[in-house]
Formats: sequence, structure tokens, C-alpha cells
Amino acid sequence: MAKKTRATRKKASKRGRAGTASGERATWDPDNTAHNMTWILLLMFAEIDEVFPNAKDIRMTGLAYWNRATTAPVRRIQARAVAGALHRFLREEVRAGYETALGRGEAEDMLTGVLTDPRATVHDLGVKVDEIFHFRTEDAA
Amino acid sequence: MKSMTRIALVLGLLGGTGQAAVQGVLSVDEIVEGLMAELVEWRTQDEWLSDYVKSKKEPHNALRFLQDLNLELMTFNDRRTGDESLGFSYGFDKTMMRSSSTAAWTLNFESAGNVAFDQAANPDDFLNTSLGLRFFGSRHGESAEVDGQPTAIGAATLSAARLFAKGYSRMSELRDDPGFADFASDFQLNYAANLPLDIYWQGTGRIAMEHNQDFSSRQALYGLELGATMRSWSQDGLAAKANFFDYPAAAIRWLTGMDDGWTPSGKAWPGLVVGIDQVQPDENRSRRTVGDTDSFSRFRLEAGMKSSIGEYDDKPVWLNVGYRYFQEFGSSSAVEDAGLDQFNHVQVAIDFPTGWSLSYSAGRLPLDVQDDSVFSLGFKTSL
Repeated sequence: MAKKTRATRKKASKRGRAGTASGERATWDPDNTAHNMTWILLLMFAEIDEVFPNAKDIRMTGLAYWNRATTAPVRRIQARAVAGALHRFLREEVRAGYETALGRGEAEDMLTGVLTDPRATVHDLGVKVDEIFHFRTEDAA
Repeated sequence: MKSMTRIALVLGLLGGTGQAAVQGVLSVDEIVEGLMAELVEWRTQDEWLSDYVKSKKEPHNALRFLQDLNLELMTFNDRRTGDESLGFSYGFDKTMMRSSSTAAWTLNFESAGNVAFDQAANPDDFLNTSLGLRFFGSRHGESAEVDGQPTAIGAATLSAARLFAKGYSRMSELRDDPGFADFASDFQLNYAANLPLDIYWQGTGRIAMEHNQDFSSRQALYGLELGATMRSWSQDGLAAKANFFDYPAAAIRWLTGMDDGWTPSGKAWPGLVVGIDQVQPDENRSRRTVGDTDSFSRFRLEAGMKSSIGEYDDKPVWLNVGYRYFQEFGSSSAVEDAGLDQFNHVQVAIDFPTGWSLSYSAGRLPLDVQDDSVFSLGFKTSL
């Protein structure tokens, strides 16, 4: 029940920040912890090489891990390594919680789903991180 | 809207016999100018549907599946005439069910392949549609305790992310900031360098249909596959030095001056998938021709790796490699004589930061009529 309350609060906060109607994704925002952490972790893991504003529109096909010569099953297992690295840092170092009752496998699979979508952008990945993780900075907002 | 699309501009290259078949003589500028004009129109059509679906907050049920469909318009080179033919590659990957707790499994519906409007021009006329139950895991277990304050590196990264996300418009500016350089060094030395070797695996049980693009040749199958990869985040660790798959790329990096010394990458370990399939080839045209449509077992291997091989304008030049291998068990002499018991296919692609890419693929996939050896030149663009 507490989880639901937290998720509801975050949804309301997102609407306020983006100033948009329910259901529309949040703006790429340097003050959004999920967004700026997604960017800096991709930068530190050498998956991208762009400043925050320019990283927004980079497609998953532009990440360092994306191998266009191989098959989807191979690409998926390699995407999982990237998802695992993001998940581990956010959970174990940042100590982010989950927005809803998730396990590691489910959270990593949700990240992998975005990472293996050639149309998805870094912005989409940041939105997914925001959906999955709850950061302490959100409590203070 | 800025987006990245790769256009495969196949420039008339090698046919199945390996003979060059370049059509006419055009300058690169002329080729690019002409095809870019066509690209703008294709791209507009390509993006229209996906943008429409994305723009819908709650798409109609009938359109919802399109959100998981990825199309890429392409040109193919006709093996017989050398003429260009339009077509597209498609990929559809829908997670239909997902575990709701710590157990990690998903039920996925997938389909992928290339379709050319002139089928004879399709160099890889091998499409795959499957339903699979996938389990996955890693050596890195569930964290026992994650509540509490961030660790030192976690707190430093939170601060750095907030600080450095604003006020920079180019990476050169960010790299020149001593504060960022200190943070990046701290992250590598106190976090990445200490991470254990990551190993990830997945197992999949699946049923599938393999077919050519007009379904005139097809075969059903069921099987099991196992996939794995590993990744070392430390550049100096044993796992990086032991990555002999990356030795050729490391040699090129060294020769081109990108690396000061011999530094294979621990992040470039290949991904590997192996599988055993039971195939029912009743409608496989090639096997019907040789009079053997008995069910058979097959070993399958798919591998891929990517590594940088140099730099241009401070951006990496990437080498992409993919390999696929199929081997039938206990094949008949008729099948062996017709060369239908074993298939190999390799693809190598080099991506330049300027947007150009050069690809080479060789070999044959099941249901493909003939061996192909094809060079292609592509271009990425932002529209």
C-alpha cells in the first residue's frame, strides 16, 4: 500500500515538473535525478560521449554496446550487461528504491526492453529509470 | 526532430560468384546526393507511422502492436542485374508476460528479417518468427540491503550528475573542466576498477517458424538455446587482458595510435548464443528438391562482438562483427551433397563517426538459395 502511495506521489510530481497532462513523458530535465543519473552513468560506462542536452536524442543504436552486425538474441544478452551495470549502481551505490514491488530481474528486463529498442532514445531510457527507481531527492522535492 | 537512421546504400557489389558487378561509374557525391533526396522522402514515410503511434497517449488496440515494430528502409542490390531494389528490414519484439517478483523470466514474441521488393535482390532471405519463454540471470545476485544513505561514490555521482548536466554544450568543454576530470578519475579508480567480472546468461525454450520473405519456403522448429556474455569494467584486469577476441581490434588501436599500448578491452567480450533445434522441413523448398523432408536436429551458434579500432575527430570508429553457424546432425548424403547440412554467415561492419559505414557479409543462411558475398556502404543521418 505504501508503495502505491509513493508511486502516486511521483506521478503527480512528474506532471508538475513537465507541466503536461497525465500519460505524457517528462521533459528531459537536468534537475531530474533519474535523467541526469542515466546520462552520467552511460557516460562513465562509455556507452555515450555527449553532454547532457545533446544526449537526449541519441538512439539505442548509437550506444557503444549496440552491434548492428549480430542477431537480436546476442544483442539482448549484451544489452542485459548494460542494464545490469545501471541497475547495480543505482541500487547499491545510490541506494535508490523501487517505485513498485519489483525484483532485480524484472527491473533489469524493463531496462533491457528499452536498450534493445532501436527507436528508443536516451531520453526514453531516462524516463524508464524514473519509472523504475525512487530516489531520495524525490522525497525532498 | 533529431533521429538516427541508417540507410544501407548498397553500391552494386559482389554477387554469389564473388565477381565484381559495379554498375556504371558515379562519384560518391553524386551517389550520396541522389540517395539522400530519396532518403528524405522514405524517412518521412518511415517516421510518420511510428511518430503517430508514439503521439497517441492511448493508441487503439489495433495500433498498439506497432509500438513494438521497428522498420528500417533499405536498398538492396539485385544479384542478377546489379540494379538497386527497395526494401526494408523489420524487427518485432514484444514481451507478452514478465515475472512479477525476483524470479526472472519473460514470454516473448519476436520476428525479424529483411524484405526486398524484388526478392532476388534480398541477400539474406531468411526471416524468423518465434515465441519463447526466456529465463535469465547473472553472477551478480540480488542486493541484500539497499536502503540507507548512498555510498561515497554514489553520493559523488549524484552530485556530479546534477552539476555537470548543466552549462556545457560540447564534450570538449566538459572534459576540460578539472572538476569533471577529477570525478571521472575517481569513478574509474574507486568504482569501475574494483567491480568483479560480470557474467550474464539466459536460457530460452522456443517454437519458431523460419521462412523466406514470400513464405514459399519455410520450416517449423522447436528448441532450446543458451546465451551468455561477460564484461569487465576494469581496463587493467585479467579479464580484459584475456579477451583474445579483441586482440585484432587492440592491435589496430595500437597501430592507429588510439591506444598507447596493448590494451584489449574487457567490455568487448563477445555475446554467444548456442541452441539445439528440432526442425520440421516439410515446406523447405531446397530439401524437397533433394527429396529429404524428414525431421532433423540442428546445432545453432550465434556470436557477436563490437570494439573500437581507432578515432576520428575524437570519436571512436567501431568494428561490428556477427557470425551465425548451423549444423545438422546425422544428415543424409542427399542433403550433404546439396550443401544443405551446414550454413555459415558472417557480417563485419565498420562505423565511422562521420555517419558513413562500410559492411561486408558473406555466406548463406538456411532457406537462402545461394551464397552471397556483399559489400555495402551506408550512411547515418539525422533529420
